[in-house]
Amino acid sequence: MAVAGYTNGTKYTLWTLRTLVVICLVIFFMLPVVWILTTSLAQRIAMFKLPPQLFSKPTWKNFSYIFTQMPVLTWTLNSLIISLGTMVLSLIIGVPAGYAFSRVNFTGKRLLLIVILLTRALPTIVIVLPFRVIMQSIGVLGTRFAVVLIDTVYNAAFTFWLMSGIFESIPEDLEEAARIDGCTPIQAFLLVAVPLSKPGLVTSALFAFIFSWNDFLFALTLTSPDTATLPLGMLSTYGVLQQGWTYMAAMGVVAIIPVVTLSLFLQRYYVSGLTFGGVK
Amino acid sequence: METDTTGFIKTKKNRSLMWFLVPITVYLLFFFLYPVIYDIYISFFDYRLGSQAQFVGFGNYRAMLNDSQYMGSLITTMVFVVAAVVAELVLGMIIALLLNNEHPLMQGIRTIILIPTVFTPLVAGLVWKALYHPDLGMYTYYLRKIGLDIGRGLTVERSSALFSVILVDVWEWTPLMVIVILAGLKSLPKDPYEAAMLDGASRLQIFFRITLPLLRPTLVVALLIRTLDALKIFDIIWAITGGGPGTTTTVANLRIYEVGMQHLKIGYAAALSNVLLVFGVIAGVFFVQSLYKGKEA
Amino acid sequence: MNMKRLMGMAAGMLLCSTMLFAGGKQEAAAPAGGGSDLPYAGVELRFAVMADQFADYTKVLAQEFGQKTGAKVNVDILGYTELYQKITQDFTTDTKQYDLLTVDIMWSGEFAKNGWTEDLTPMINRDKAEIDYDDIMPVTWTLGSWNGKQVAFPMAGYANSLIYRKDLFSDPKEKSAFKAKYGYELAPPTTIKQLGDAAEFFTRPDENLYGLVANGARGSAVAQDWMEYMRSFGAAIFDANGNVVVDSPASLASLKFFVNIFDKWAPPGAIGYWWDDRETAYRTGQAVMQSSWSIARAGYENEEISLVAGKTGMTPSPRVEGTAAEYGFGGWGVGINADISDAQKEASWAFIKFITGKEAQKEWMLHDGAPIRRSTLTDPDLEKQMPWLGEILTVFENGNGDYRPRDPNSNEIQSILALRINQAITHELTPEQALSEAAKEIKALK
Repeated sequence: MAVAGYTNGTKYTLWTLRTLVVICLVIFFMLPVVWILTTSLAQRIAMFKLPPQLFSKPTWKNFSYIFTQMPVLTWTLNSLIISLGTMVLSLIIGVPAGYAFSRVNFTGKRLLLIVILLTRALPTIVIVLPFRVIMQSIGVLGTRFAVVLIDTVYNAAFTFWLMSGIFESIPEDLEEAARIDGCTPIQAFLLVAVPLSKPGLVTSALFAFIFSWNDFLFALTLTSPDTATLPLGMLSTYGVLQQGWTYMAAMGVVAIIPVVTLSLFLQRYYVSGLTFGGVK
Repeated sequence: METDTTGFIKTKKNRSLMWFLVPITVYLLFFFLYPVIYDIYISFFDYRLGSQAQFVGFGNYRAMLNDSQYMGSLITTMVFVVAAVVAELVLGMIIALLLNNEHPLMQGIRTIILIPTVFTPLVAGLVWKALYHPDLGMYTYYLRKIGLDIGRGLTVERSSALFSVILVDVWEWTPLMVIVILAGLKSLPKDPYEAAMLDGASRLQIFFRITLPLLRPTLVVALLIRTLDALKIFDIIWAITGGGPGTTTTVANLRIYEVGMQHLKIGYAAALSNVLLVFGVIAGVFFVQSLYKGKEA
Repeated sequence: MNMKRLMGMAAGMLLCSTMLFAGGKQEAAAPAGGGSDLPYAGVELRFAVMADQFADYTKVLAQEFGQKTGAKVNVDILGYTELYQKITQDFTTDTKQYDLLTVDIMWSGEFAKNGWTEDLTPMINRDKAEIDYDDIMPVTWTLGSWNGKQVAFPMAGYANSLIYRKDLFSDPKEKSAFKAKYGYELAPPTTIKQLGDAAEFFTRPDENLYGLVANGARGSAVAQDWMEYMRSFGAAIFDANGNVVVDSPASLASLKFFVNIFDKWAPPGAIGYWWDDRETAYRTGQAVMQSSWSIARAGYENEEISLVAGKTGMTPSPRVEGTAAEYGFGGWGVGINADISDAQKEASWAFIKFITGKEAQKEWMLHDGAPIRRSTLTDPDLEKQMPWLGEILTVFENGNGDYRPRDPNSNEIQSILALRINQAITHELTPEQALSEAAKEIKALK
């Protein structure tokens, strides 16, 4: 059947089908998002009603409870510092390495790639225990820095990989021209290659930030009470003997708003950054 | 891929760039390799936090073979990884193809569809747990309303519990797949399509003969990342089912967590996690090889 | 130039974040009180508190203590799992993150064996008069005692009781229908037989009404709820000599009864319930009876979180006829981290004496606290507001704090039961298989 060979009838059916599928998918992906927003504003008693209500009489009580009864601002600040720290450290370590990887051929290259990627395969549960011991021996256990260090293990590799793909897709000619004009390799990297790889940089930065922001297990193991992050705070809203859906939703909204805003804001960069340079 | 001659020139010209690889190597040696070596070392000890470590050779690994809970959890993990990643790939591909046009509505959807991916997994787990609540959950209520037989609840019936947590993973990570595939689709060359249109190829033929092979590297990368992350799944299942009912949703990481963090048996937990790491290594090598094969082809 | 700007930004951000890391630990430095009459001015204590109802008000009490003594007590509220994990990691790596912590009755053995929390016996003996030792209910000392050590001080005592819908049990129509069917008067059950009858009587799925609810989700929830029924049947995990008797006939009978709850009388979703879900089922009026901790009692009268305000009754748990009158006791003690300095320990002990003292306990009871003292339980002011205190007293006087083992392996025992009991109620295993598996696994721990 040729592409242009549809009759009007089939075309209409297809259109309807497609719209229906899109609507179902939008509901599937968006319902939990809507639920958390409306629940964060719901009365606690409304959670007991059947049929379940998506919208009920709104109240700010949940937010005022979490902000007055819990150190939400401290948690947020900690999350922010840890995520920014991870982002900066991952970029500093990963971006130059990714560049070198794309510009130099050497034996054992593939092996190095595999080893670096394997950091991503490392089971999280058990790395935290030896890591805790190391952190204690260098005296940073319980600080935000300790969490940054472990988050960077998982993220530097990803940054490295993504950036090596990005740099590979950038033609070398421009750097060569710069080198002829007297730039050192480092200058060529910083002045020519880095500015050209902006979408990749934004993508790497965002992913490192989100990974770190969302991490729960590392923060649970490595922080002290002063340096606890938002996901840890989530669990405090969940009292054992009473249902805490509304408080949990309010905390959840606080936890996801920064990353959602950031990612929506930066979307035009990373849609192109995410090709991993794999497709030329 | 570059030819040999340019490769040779590159090597000579850019040798100084090798220094750029030093920080990441040192960093990973210290913070990645050291913990791994420590794990391998400690896995030969019967070591419970708070008491003395005792050398037991391969005792922990032998015990693992008789640990039906862990062996079962490895199978559950495999089912989880394969089902979740395949579903995310297929669904991601369908959605990406649907959204790959410039209709303003599609652009709007493209913007908001990413939200689940940036959800903190723990929050995602708790939200879905509430939606799945066997008596008060919105999903439970409406699924029963439309006459679906979900027994006593999706997450509490042994037949559907694993499916229900896979669905949450699909919800959270399909959008990432969509974005990656969309990015890949945008960067596809136009010429092969024009040639195919002239030949009168059908849409399906174009998709399978041209789009899919061209997208291959992008897909392999996306699959690799998702597979490695799915092997480590923890937060979502821990929050929703805690591994139950029975052991139906106990993935390897959950069992390791129980042994290491709750029973404080560090040596045994290290042995278990080393085995899980081997699966990660296998998956990693497989995908990287297939990526190179694709590039060389 | 472009490069300079970029480098500058990167360096700035790095510097900035490094400074913030460095500040992490000191930022909470104590504002020295100054007043010389304050014995602990300048001392700072960190208190890890379980996120139960009583947690919020510990902050207020901590402030009061601060005003009296000058010590600053930071309260850190944590969920059950994180609490255990954070404090055990704190102990095993000697990081001294917490000075004080709430101790679950089931952790006593493990903490005592490892010496993680300070043995308070010498301090208790020294200050016996000050703490008015005899006023503290004897059963509450099981919170934290193991092998002659007292590794936690009783702080919040919980009575396990039967919670039931007073309005339904006293409804004349229900009463006559019940009598016609079962041949005796409908009353709050005192025996397991009556409990089963009442549960059956009130189970009406078409009205979305269910007779009896319990926790079913795999995890500590199902393990602990079953142990409560096990105790009502006069069974135990260990006998007096420490032998594993979890598969005894009485224990098996209790598991069969427990399975019946989910098969016949509980809301359908109960096999997936945690504590909060079970409480919700009762508070929404879906379930007529549940066995629960007294700490939740005040919440039933709070219309923000309960649809059954004014309709709740509470009575000691029913038990099998012929077994001795003993009831489930649990709750939280407060312990002192054994790693901290003597000065910190002294201040921590002063805090314990304050928070478990008569005045603080009374004030706390009015704000979701839990009692440990006879004087609190018999206080006329309190009784006016909380007429159920008498029931708690009865439970405490005949309390058994040992039915959930305080053994050093209690966490592993609980994990074993968490799985096996859940497999029994979901019919993956028969009750016999579940208990014989559990017994085998618990024996292997020894």
